[in-house]
Amino acid sequence: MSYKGLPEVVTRRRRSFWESAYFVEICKGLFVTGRHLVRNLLHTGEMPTVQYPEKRREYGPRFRGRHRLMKRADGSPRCVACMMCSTVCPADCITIVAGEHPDPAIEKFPKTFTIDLLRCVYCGLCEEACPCDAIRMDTGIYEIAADNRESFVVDKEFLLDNDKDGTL
Amino acid sequence: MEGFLFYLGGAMMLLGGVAMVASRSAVSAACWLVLSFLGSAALFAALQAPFLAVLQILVYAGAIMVLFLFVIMMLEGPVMPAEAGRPKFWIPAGALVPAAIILVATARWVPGAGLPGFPGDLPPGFGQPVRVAQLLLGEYLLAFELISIVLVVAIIGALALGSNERTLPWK
Amino acid sequence: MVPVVFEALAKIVFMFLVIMSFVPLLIWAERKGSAFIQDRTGPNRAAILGLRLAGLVHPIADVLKLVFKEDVVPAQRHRVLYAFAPWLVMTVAMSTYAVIPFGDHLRLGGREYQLVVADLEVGLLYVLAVSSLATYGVALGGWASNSKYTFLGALRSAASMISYEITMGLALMGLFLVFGTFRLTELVHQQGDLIWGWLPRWGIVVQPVGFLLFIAAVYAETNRTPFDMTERDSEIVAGYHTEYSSLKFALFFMAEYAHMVIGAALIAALYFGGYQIPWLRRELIEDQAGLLLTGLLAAGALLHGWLASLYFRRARREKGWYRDAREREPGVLGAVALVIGLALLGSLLLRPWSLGAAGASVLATLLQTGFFIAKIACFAWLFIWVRWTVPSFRYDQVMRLGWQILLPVGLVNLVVTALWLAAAHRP
Repeated sequence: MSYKGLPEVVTRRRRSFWESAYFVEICKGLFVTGRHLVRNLLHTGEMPTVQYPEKRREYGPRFRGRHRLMKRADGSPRCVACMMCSTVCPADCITIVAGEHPDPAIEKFPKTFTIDLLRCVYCGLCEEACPCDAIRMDTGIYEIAADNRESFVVDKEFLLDNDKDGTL
Repeated sequence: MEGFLFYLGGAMMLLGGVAMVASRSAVSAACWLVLSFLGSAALFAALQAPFLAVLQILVYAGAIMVLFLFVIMMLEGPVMPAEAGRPKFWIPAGALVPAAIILVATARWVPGAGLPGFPGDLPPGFGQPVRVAQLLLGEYLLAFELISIVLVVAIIGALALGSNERTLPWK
Repeated sequence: MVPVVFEALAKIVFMFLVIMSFVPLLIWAERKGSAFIQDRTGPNRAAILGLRLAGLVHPIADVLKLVFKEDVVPAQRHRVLYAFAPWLVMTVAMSTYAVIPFGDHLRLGGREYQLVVADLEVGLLYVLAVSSLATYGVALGGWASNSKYTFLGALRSAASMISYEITMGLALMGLFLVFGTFRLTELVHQQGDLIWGWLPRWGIVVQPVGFLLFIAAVYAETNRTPFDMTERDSEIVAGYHTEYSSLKFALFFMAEYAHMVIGAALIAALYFGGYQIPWLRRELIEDQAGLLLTGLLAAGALLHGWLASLYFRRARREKGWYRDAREREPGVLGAVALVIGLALLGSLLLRPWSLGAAGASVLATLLQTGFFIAKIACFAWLFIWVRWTVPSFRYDQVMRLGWQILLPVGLVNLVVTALWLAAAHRP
């Protein structure tokens, strides 16, 4: 492959005597790093590092965290098991088993609704696809941890309980 | 103190020398030779010649043997001499060292064969750098310079033998 | 005989303690300093009862971890040399200190103590000899691990050692010509003189080129950046100690820092006057000991008071940050600083200005030793600072620099020094 317009041979800039003597340049470099050091020593609080568990970075309102399922006024899931989210999901992480709803006006409801959080890529397509605003990713939870893989497959009850933290 | 150093140094030299000849891997041999050099440095120290003792370590153990080790390691590569089996040399070597020490220690009581006497009253400055320098650059200047010429000739000869025609620096 | 043995033992233990307390401090400085240079905060989590001491607890945690880790060894290693190499490195690192003087003569109870473990006539050569042995541990350890990476590290270490040993020797010979002695105590003593009445006769003043050569050689021999070919992470994993783990790795790691301390101590002793305080000769300190001690105590009290106020202010500012034991830290530190400050202030009541002759001698020694340790700390910090500033040289660049630049410069420096001395001392 050839790159048109680029010179075939890179011509190196000739280094001056003082540059090739290293010591002066090293001293200049020491000055640069020393400036950072002194600045950080004097203004420890202004360092960009976030002291994580105690302090957290502020995320925008559109940040996609862990999913949750919305409820109706009577407490039942708003989901109608239309399978839009599990169809659109690029990671294929949503599994819904639909059942017949006793209320004829609603038609279907999810018997089970599981999300494999290890497969989820947090793209947010499920909440875009949902016709009745049943699944949302607005919890802001990003610390999702467990010591076994099974715990990452969360069920309907878990997703409906909206007062949870990251613990699975 | 000198006696202790003498036996220690002698034991190190003997063990190092025997084990160096007997060991099968070249790297082990080099290590044993270093031990032998350290022993001879201890002997020099016992003989009130600290300058020579330090030079022994600096030049032989520190420079020449490192160079040897470099070359040996480069030629042998990181391959272990697993086929060489367990070292067997340590039995004769281990037997020889105490034997030699006992021999030297008892020689004191054998009439007519005493230990070589440790220097008692030495001239001031004996073995110190200044005195060695005066000898080398005064009394034995000619021999000293001749040896350095021999070394230069040897280096040029090694260059000429070791490289082919094209890579000679003066071509 | 017995007091002599005790004296020697005391000096050995003192040197050992100084070095061994420098090692964790340097590891801390390396991690914290590199973090601050790169705009990070560095280690600050390990804590004992909430006391974190700005990450100083981390070296303790590191040591505990390394001691209790499993010792994983390669199956096809050379058993003896593999186990022997870390100890060799550590031993060599420890034995250089024997000839470095850490103070002038201490006169106490009619006896004179020389503050150096072994005052060898050939001290300078001893330093060279021992440091040349340092390469065996690295080379043999790398070879005995029977791995390509460690082997390459071993080869590189042997090569760089051979190359830079000569430069180091030439730089030291220049120093030897000027001061006319191999004896380190004498060499440091002479550096207390003044040229033209105001310029300290330090090694760097009389041998500036030699100093640059020496510092480059020392960096090469301690395998620190920019000469870190033996353990270049991006090329050969961790170099010669790739296959070492647990306590054996800890020994290599500690030896690296111990070598840094030697390097710093040598630079300080040979080129920066060792324990000499510029323009403050020992006689002057002993004459004005009472006044000096009073001033020092007062300054110490002020310093600790200031520190205490800083800590207390921090304690107020950080209230409610962590909601655990760590929140007490600034308060506790402030209280400690306050107590020390008050103790120093209280010691002024003991009339330190009327100090006896023995006390004056001890004070002078303490001051000089403290100054020497401060110099070592400065140069040890320079090692760290340079490491986090300068990118490392390529292998061929290291060799070219050593043989084609530093070696000729060293020879020219030696000849020029000799000619200059010959001209100056012409009868």
